[in-house]
Amino acid sequence: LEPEIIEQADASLLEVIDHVLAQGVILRGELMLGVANVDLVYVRLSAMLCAADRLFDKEPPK
Amino acid sequence: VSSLYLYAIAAEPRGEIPLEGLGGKRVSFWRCDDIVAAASEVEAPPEPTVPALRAHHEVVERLGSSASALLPVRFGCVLADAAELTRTLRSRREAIQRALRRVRGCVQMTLRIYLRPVEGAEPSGQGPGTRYLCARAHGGAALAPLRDALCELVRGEREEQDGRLFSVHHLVPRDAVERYRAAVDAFQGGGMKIHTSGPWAPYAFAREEAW
Repeated sequence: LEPEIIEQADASLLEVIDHVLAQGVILRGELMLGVANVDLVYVRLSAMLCAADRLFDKEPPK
Repeated sequence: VSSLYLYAIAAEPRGEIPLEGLGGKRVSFWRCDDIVAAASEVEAPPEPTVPALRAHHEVVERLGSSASALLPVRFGCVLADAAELTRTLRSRREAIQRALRRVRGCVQMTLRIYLRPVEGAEPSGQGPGTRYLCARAHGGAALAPLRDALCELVRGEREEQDGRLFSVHHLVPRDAVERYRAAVDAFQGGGMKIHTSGPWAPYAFAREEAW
């Protein structure tokens, strides 16, 4: 999962991942634990850091 | 036996629009008093792949365009059947209604703000706790003028920090989005660079701790 996400990453995809995976209503905590495991938390942080790098590398997309 | 995969909870959507969800399954709407849940059938809990995340997001976006108030559900919520869905919604009805009232007519704008390091502001010899507190204090001070400029346009705020990267989520009335963008643009440059995205469904204002 991680390499796939990072390689395909663009700014809007990172935003989608962050919003869809890490936020939103949680109605069933025990099932979420199976999905939002450590790997996904790692992906989220990577995504955010990657976004931070982009901020300095180039202008943000309009 | 199929289960129900949940996308979002809405307050009385205007018409139940035809939508395709995960695995190409049709999205159905389940009414519980004045709350409507959008869900589709799944055979098993979905894997969090990029196409699945996009499909979930796409459904939420489409629902957001037709509902006056929408709470997006985090990826991966599977309920056994309609009875469990109804039971879950009913047991949290008041909290859900409160959250729906809060986001009504609003969208989420997200700012990713990276603060450039300031010479001498971060003591290099200190432990991680001290560095964190320094970065936080520095960030709070740096972001204060931006907050002041936006406060008239913003109905709610959630903030997260990861080192020098601040994520600020704002709840903004739909008709104020352009003014919001203009106000943020006025702050570009100087000691910070801001990446603005949105409008999004109010993901950061649907979290349970926000209820």
